[in-house]
Amino acid sequence: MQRTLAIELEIFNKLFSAIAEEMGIVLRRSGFSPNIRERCDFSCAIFDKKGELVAQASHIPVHLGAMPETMKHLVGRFDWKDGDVIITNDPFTGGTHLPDITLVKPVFFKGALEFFLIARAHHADVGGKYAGSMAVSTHIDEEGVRISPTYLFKEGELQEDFFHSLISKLRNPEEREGDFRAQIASLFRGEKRLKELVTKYGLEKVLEMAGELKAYSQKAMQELIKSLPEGVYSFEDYLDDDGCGTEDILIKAQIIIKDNKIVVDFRGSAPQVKGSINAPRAVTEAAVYYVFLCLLNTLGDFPINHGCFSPIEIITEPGTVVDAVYPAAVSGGNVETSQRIVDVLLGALSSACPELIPAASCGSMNNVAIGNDSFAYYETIGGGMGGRPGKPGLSGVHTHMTNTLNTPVEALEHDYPLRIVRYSLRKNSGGKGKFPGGEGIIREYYFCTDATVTLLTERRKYSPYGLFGGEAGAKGENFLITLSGGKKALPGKVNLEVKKGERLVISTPGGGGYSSFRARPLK
Amino acid sequence: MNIAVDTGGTFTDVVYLEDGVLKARKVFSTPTDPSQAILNGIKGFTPTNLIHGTTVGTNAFLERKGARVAFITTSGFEDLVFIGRQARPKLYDFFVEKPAPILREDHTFGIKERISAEGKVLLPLSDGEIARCINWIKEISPEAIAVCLLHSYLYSFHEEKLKSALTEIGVPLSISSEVLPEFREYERASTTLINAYLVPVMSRYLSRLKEKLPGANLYIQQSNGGWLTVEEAKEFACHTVLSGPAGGAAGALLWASVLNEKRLITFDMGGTSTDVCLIDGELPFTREYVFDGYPLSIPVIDIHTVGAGGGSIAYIDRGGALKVGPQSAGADPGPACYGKALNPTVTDANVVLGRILPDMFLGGRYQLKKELSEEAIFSIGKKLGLSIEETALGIIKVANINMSRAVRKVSLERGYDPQEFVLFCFGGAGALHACAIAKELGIKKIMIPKLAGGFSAFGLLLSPPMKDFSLTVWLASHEKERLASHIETLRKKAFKHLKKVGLNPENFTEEIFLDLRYKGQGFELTVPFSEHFVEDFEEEHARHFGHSFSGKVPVEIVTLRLRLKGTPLAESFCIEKENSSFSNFETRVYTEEGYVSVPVVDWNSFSVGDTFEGPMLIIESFTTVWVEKGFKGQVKENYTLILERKD
Repeated sequence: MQRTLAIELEIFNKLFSAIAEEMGIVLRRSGFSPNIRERCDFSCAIFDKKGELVAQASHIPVHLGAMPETMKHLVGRFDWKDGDVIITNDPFTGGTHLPDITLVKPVFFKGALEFFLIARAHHADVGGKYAGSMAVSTHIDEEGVRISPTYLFKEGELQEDFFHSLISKLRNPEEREGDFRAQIASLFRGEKRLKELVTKYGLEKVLEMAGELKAYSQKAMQELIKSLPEGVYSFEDYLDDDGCGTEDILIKAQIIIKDNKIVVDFRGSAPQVKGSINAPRAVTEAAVYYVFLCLLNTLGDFPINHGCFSPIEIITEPGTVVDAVYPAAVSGGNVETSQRIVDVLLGALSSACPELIPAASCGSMNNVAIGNDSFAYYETIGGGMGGRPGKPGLSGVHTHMTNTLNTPVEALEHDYPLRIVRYSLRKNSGGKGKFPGGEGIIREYYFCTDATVTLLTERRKYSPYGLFGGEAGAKGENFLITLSGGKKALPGKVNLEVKKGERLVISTPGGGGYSSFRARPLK
Repeated sequence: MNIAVDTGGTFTDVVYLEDGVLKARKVFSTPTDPSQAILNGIKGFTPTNLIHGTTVGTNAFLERKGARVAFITTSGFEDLVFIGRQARPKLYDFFVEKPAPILREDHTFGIKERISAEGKVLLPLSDGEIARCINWIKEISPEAIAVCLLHSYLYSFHEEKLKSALTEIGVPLSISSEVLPEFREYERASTTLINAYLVPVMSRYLSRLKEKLPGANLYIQQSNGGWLTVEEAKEFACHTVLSGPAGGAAGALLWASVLNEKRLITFDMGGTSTDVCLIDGELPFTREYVFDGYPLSIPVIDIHTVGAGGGSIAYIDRGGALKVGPQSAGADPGPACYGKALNPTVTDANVVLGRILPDMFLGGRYQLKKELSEEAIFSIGKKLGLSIEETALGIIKVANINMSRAVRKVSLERGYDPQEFVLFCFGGAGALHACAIAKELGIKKIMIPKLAGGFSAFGLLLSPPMKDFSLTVWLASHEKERLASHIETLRKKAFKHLKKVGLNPENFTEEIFLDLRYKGQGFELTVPFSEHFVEDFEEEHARHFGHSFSGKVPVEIVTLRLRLKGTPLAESFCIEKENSSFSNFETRVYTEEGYVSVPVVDWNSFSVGDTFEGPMLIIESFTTVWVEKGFKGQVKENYTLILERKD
């Protein structure tokens, strides 16, 4: 190692990540939909010209982890020119699900392409049969507008016809336009800062340090892998159902730790299903990266970039729930299946490194989309975190693949014809154990108007597992209180017409417990 | 006599004016009873007015030694403060923790009542419910009570009804529509809860202090940079938590104004952290302050703090990179050169490089041990294969990047170009790093005030009394009449309040601001109320985000703000020159170019108008200024140093 590298690594780590973070701040503050401004459901990152991650801001794991796959599809697809901005949400070319719309801007220096900037945001609606575009569907075309990678800006020119035809297909086009402008503003800010960085340090130095940072993170990830016992670790778990008649959908993983490398093999997982819980490969990759980045965090605070990923190989079979192909419906793959993939990976790793692995968390993002012709609203609800070696799980939080904020009740009620009747922790829903799971949440909605509701929820049939004798967390429950006062149980995944005056109650799962009181203490 | 006293962790600073001349004293703080240090500091004076910046509330909160609070909210939302915004504080961490609690889980009560988002009563608050609530409170007998009902900022009747019923219990009450009548229930609840948590602590402290200062009018500095009466601080204790840093920023603006500079980035580097604040003509405010994990949404001077200071500890991480902080050696055990523990800190790096002279620290009152600094830095250097000096330089560079990042956050990230600002540098260690920070961010001019410590106390002494009032109104921008009527209501309320806490509103001037956003947005920008506030908002939006929707998207008035500002106790000051304590000499300082010979100059040897050039070390009891090569300097009014880049 060059002698002063240790110093420069830290300096450039801070410089690159400051750019990604500033992009996020611009996006949040100028975004229009509550989804972006209140819930922060967006992510920003910098890639190099090969499409390898250089730096990212701490945003949403499922977005961030899926971006490398997006870039893999995009880099060679275009004859990149300065001023271009490409837009895509296509799950089959490296996207996640349709509401996550990604904008990519190449950054040129002296006429040569050197970096890409990405701003990905979850839009509250991308068209399709149901408001919120998170419906239980059976075909990708029902889920909304699929934007294959195409030009939003070509050499600095906004493609007006395309843009207006796009937003006209979406509900609430003004809000969509505001959010797109926020994404664009974020990319331009990132470009400005990257150019300043190059002016100050020189392109050669900046590129060299981008490379060094990757090598540094790769070394750290290899050190983590070295610390894990070699072996083959397997686990399987099930998704409840796909909302369209298929139940008990198997997700299976085999983790092979050998020769300072990790292979994660998902072969044997269920074939893709009719309903919308299929995960494109990018989502599966994001889940794998998330798990190993959390483990890496136990060694220290390392920059997250391509180097972290390179010692990890992921094997999937196209046409399965973890590698969906056209025309699979995928809206829930990103939000639900990704969580189960994490559960399966943690289950497998719990035999390799029990002192680092928590019991299963809530395992669902508990997606609720509500709307009618005049509004579209989408939110997710947290749950219980699994008990952890040495401490209980947290209650009422988003776990693993998401970390969106809630919308304040007072903001929600001001903006939409809805009322929240109850928003509380769900007592006794955490799995018992020496280190108990966290409690889930109960959220009750009152409808001030007729509306369509879509629920995409999981762990209504299979509970979040406990580990080493800890008990499982409570399963989630959804029901509707009708005008007559009757309580009608709802399936985990459903599209539903709700009348004014009815109430919807969502109880989210608790986390699994970790270790029974009697279990032998871990080494 | 008018005196300002700022209590800090290590020192208590006393600043006063004697015939218009600013004087300062520094005494050691007495953490177990902070009032003792105040009495020590003002010994021999008879203060008429004493403005006090205190950390009693801050420390009680950080140490979680506040009151046992009962929290009352709308039924169905009992877990409001436990759920918070539903997010976890760290992303890639299985072992992440939420901030330590300030409320017991069994100390929340859901009361049956409901107001709608239009401010209408959906479910009236019944006497039976109130009785049930009172019984519950009597059962748990809390030390303070916080009340936050949904949408109370629109219609506060239910909270008021509860308040008058609960008064008989005789426990301090914090009511959300009084503490923060603004929307976003979690932020309002958290702020109200923080207030309730601190009221008993502050009341006890202030009552005791007042007893010890018979005859003096005691005023308490607040987080908005103004002071108010003890009565006010006892009722709204949450306003006192950032009073020290607020004094510093206010002081910077006052000091620089004398030199006709009003666009500043303040840079206050202390032992464990660095505070920065961007001042564009006036003190900036934020309502998004997070106090040790909990939103405190009152207007506080917008100061960004990073965990990087003189005491920050350097180490090599497992990937082989050099890191500095956020762990700090603090004042005790302190940097290695203090002789208590071999922590390689930023201060040690400065000692090794020759920028801090071991026998001139704190005016020579405290001898530093350079050999221990060298030993500590060597422990890092040997792992990197670098010399002690190269390692020290690396530590400084990494620390500078961390601190530059704080400056970026308040400037570039908010649409301000730091090159248009003066870096205003105070605090013990800031002037050692000012040139490097300026270079990193392209800042051309640095200003360093001469004040023997106590810069925050100086800010207090010249700050006005001030109180902020607010109300979420949710109007369309064209609803001018309704806006006018809300302003009138708020003004009446404000006047009544000032009278209640013992101040005469006639002596106050008012400023009105509006929090505006495009309808549909969730983040508001604050602009002064005027005929053209919509245009001003659009301009501000464009500056922050690079675009606006002029006229295309309706603008919404979210929150109305009224600030009442009085007259400061003192409005002008000057500094007298002290005797020079040593003759200038030469020393060796290690820089990028290796060792260079550098003159060491006593700040007190300067006259106004003198000029100088880097490299140079300028020394005064509590500050060392490292003027890098490439910078030229001049001495201005009040012996203020101005450093400018030569290119």
